[in-house]
Amino acid sequence: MISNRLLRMSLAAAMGAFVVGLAAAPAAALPIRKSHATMVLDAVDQFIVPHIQTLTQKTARMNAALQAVCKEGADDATRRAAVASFADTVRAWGSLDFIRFGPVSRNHRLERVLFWPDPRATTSRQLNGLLAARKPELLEAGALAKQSVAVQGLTALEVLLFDEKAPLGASTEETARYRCALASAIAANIDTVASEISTGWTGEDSFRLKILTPGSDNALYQDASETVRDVVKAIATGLDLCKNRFVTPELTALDETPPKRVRLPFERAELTGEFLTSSLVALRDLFETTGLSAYVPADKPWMTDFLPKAWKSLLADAARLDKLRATERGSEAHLHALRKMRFDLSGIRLIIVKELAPNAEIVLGFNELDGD
Amino acid sequence: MLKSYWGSTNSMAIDRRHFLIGSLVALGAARSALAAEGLAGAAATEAAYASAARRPDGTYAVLLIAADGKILREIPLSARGHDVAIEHASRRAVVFGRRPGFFALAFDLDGRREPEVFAPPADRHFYGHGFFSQDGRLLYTSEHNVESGEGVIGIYDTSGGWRRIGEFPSYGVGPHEAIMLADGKTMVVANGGFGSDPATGRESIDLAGMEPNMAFVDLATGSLKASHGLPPEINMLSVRHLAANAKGEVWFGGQWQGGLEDSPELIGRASLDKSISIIEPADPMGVSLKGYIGSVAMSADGRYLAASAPRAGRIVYADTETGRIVHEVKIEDGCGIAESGGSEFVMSSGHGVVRFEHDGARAPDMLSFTGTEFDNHLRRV
Repeated sequence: MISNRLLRMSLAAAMGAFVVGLAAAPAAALPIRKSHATMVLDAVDQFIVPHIQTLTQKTARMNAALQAVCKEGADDATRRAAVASFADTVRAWGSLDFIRFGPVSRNHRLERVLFWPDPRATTSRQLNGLLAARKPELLEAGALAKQSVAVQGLTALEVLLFDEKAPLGASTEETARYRCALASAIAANIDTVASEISTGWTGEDSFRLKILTPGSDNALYQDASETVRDVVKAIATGLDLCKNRFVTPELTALDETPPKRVRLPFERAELTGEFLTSSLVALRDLFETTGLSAYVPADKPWMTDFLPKAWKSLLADAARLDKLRATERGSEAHLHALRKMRFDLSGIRLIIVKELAPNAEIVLGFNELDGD
Repeated sequence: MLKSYWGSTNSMAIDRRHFLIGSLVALGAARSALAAEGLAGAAATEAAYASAARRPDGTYAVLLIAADGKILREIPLSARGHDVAIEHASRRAVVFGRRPGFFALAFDLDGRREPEVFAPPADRHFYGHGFFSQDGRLLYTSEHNVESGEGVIGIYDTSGGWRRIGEFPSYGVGPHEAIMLADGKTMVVANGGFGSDPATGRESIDLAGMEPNMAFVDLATGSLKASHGLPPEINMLSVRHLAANAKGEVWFGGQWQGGLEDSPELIGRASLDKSISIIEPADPMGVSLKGYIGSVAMSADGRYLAASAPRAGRIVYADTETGRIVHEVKIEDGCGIAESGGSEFVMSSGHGVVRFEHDGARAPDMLSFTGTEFDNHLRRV
């Protein structure tokens, strides 16, 4: 197994060319231009792995909190703790949802954590079926993993946990107990999937080592130009997800006469804005971790100014989106926030894909980036 | 009242947006005069190939390309296009909006008539592909029923107005490319196996529930003649692009929706009475082709299938008689492929390259259109 130290040493050697090339420039003008390999190493070790560790902590707590709710005598404080643990997990997943390569792409893990979009309310429909059937064997450890992905993750748990008419653990009646046990089984399943993702990244034969050691003997990655492409594509994917899940659907629905309602992630839990914000913060952090902003072209210094302002503006707009939608949906202020977000998301993506990545010699093909 | 600048076209802020986008575009190298970029020799004046593309200024168009590689004409599109359906007899074509597509544009290959735009019904969207009936009177398009999530084939009258006159099922979810066999009576649909919600763009819905198939459909009645699916262990291989030879053998290129490490082989074939068989090269290729085939084309002589893997920068040739991979071309972000006579192909890339591959040892001819990004499909017209 290759250690971090060895990896860092080889990357330091690879960085030599950059240092030599920059030595003659004035100190104040020196951008820290990371190599492809360093970008990937930092993205993995400073962003992906720590966020996965956070996720597993949150899912473990949520699992325990749901079990506590279903025990006899659960009180409101226990229920509040379960709700809080759900919110923590949603935030943790929002930070990772756009990392769609590696262990999360195997065994349907992405959809098993979050089944979205769900335009035909598949989750609610299938949950109702399970609740009606009330099969005890479904509650056994690991049984849920064999069911439809729509009933395995956060989307399903939200339905059960945020139902004011049937608060979990508030009744000892058989139907209510089964409902609580099913919610608890879902939380356990999410925890298991999070553990699998974690093990996939850092366990034996880990994806971390595969992505950090490209080469002719690596079936997945031949060189660092391929690994860094996956990292930058993840940022582009995340920006697209934020726009396509939270902004465009609202703008399209509000443009209808009369305006339509649109389903957004985690509305029932009132965590839509939290989920969006956690994604945006994570995207900004990953962007900064890669050091891509050092590749702003010399003749475009305005981008250096634009990027932090755009991230800041995005976070400010995301923070007030829930309230605007709840209290003045369709107002000028609401539309302004949505349009400004669309502008900033598109602008940041455009700069990354069309300017910074090419300037860093990261090739994101027109047809390979978002193929069909 | 707070003024919303970001959706207005005449505000100060929009000027800034134009500044931003304009600045980005200006960064690209200036595009050379197109007329000077054809291959050496007498200038060709008739369109031989067509492809959707993104232009250097960031806008979209369908490009008409001469046999010498020169771009003859550009027809602007309001959004990104995908494939182009060709009606050879009357030299008409239709370019489709990319999934989820809400427009199609019909045009004359020789520029003799004004282009016409038409759209699917409100509860349908295009998947980016279609084809003309043998007599040219009808156009068939792969579409999504937004309400039900099922795939449909829309039928449009080409005689005036591009009126939608009907539809029949695609017999699957997520129909992508649909082609007509040489008999002129049978359609084959690549049902990719999953849909998306147009409200949320292109994000996939329920990949775990995928059931891709190749459906053989009677064009006269819309009835299903045969449907060939995939074994459960590879049902995340989305059947997307098709090419047939005169024998009625239909080859496909797939896109693996699971983890790359688990990618199976991506190219296979079926016919009306034969289920799908995946070709298995001596050295597995699914992972090295990055689990993704972007388009396929059959050589004019029917002997070779070319399949592009833009994520790997490779185009592979399969011998349709032996089922073996016999040749490979490296072309970065190369995706569009069209036959160019005999067993030769022409290919295009997202980096603005048009490359003519020849038989034997003759070196390829290559043209480069700086700043132009050719879309997934290139069609011989």
